[in-house]
Amino acid sequence: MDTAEARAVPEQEWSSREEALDYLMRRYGQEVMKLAYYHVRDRYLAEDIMQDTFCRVYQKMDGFRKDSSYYTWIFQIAVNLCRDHRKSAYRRRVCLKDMGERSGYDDARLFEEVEGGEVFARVMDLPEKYRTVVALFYFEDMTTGRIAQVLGLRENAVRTRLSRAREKLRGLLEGLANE
Amino acid sequence: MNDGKLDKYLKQAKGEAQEFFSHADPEVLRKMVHKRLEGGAEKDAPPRKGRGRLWKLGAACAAAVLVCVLGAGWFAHGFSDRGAAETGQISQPVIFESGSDGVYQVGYYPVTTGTDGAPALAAIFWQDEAEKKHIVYSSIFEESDTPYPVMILDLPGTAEEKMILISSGAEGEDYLHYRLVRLSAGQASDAWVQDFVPGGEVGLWNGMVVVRQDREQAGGASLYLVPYAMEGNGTIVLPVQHLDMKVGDRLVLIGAQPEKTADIIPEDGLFQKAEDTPEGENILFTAGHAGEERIALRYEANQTVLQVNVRE
Repeated sequence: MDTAEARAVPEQEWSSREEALDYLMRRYGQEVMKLAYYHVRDRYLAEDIMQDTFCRVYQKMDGFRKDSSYYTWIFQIAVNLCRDHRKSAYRRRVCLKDMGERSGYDDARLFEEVEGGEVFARVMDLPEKYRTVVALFYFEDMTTGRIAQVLGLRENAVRTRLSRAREKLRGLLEGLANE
Repeated sequence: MNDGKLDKYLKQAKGEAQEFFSHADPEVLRKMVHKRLEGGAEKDAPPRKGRGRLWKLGAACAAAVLVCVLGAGWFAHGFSDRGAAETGQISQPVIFESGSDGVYQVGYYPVTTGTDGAPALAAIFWQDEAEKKHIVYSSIFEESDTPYPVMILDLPGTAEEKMILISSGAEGEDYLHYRLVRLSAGQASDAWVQDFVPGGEVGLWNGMVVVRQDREQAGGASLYLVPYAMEGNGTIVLPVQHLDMKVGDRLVLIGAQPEKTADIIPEDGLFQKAEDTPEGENILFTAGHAGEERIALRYEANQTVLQVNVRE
């Protein structure tokens, strides 16, 4: 069984939007924040996106038609917010690019703390379109079908990105292997 | 590398990721969402900027904003012609916690300045304490209508102090205003201020603030604002131990705790105090030529060193 299906919110009646929001945040808040971090690689931005996501969930809850699971719906909102962030003029203005030897990054790393482990950090060094699918597949145990649904891609595209990401990772991790 | 070895690394990375994210407190994030919603900015889905409802401050708080801004003695201010009832924040508020001080919120508000009503932005820091909000900081960005994202520096060596970078620009104009605000023990103050930086870009990198200016207009120097903090035992902590700069770049070392300012001593003579160093305890250094410099930070019996490599 798809792990994500096992995590689907059972049908239930909530007495208020606030109660529903609370439930959904407790259930998915951490995962949304992780998804945002995989996209933007900045802890504070990820937290901001997480907050924005659930604020939108709150606003749109009454109109949610339940043609997908809450899980998918919430993640799609988060992904769209991450994409908005990447396109925004604000980000182009305040993000630093071309920081000398950091040519392997597609963004300047804004989160200065060590990313908790050298292998994790190398995965996060992948370009965003690869690291997100790698993280969702290998760290969050999502199926390619679920990843495709959340990211709005075809499943074949997800498999292709995973395959290319693995090739890139071999190169990034060779240095570790030789130490 | 074969697939087996790669999979083994990915499994290791999964564990590292779990450890990394275990430090985020989901309850804190949940509370922040509720605070945003209680603020009323989200309940009726107002647009993110432009038209805005007055954030649920109440008339007394709106007046407090005006009084705070007037009291700073800058200019005669007024809310925009749309009227106070329609004026509110023009950006999503940023909410964060600072040590044991509680929760803070940062927002930008449109104001007007001078008798000609030139548009400006007021950046306001609110502290949320025992369910009451009060203003701890405000600053005006003149001739500005475009707020940029608020960025928060956690400082190594201390959980009680933070630095917050706020900045703005103006549509159709190519300048930048920014403030590096020091937040310590519920008090917020300017650590570094610049206005009308031509062609400026500002951001965080490796725990520092870096300001880049347009090369044609302003000589293109980068300015590095490097914060330092002091641990309880007096150890001076920097976010980096080594910095690469170019000739002409500038550097300021800024203490997180205003009452503890280290002596900053360039030991190799490469860095000189800049002629346009502003008044105050922070010295602006400029790198005159290529080479290596050891910059010592000394406070009482403690010392730490920042190694700087300057290239052409």
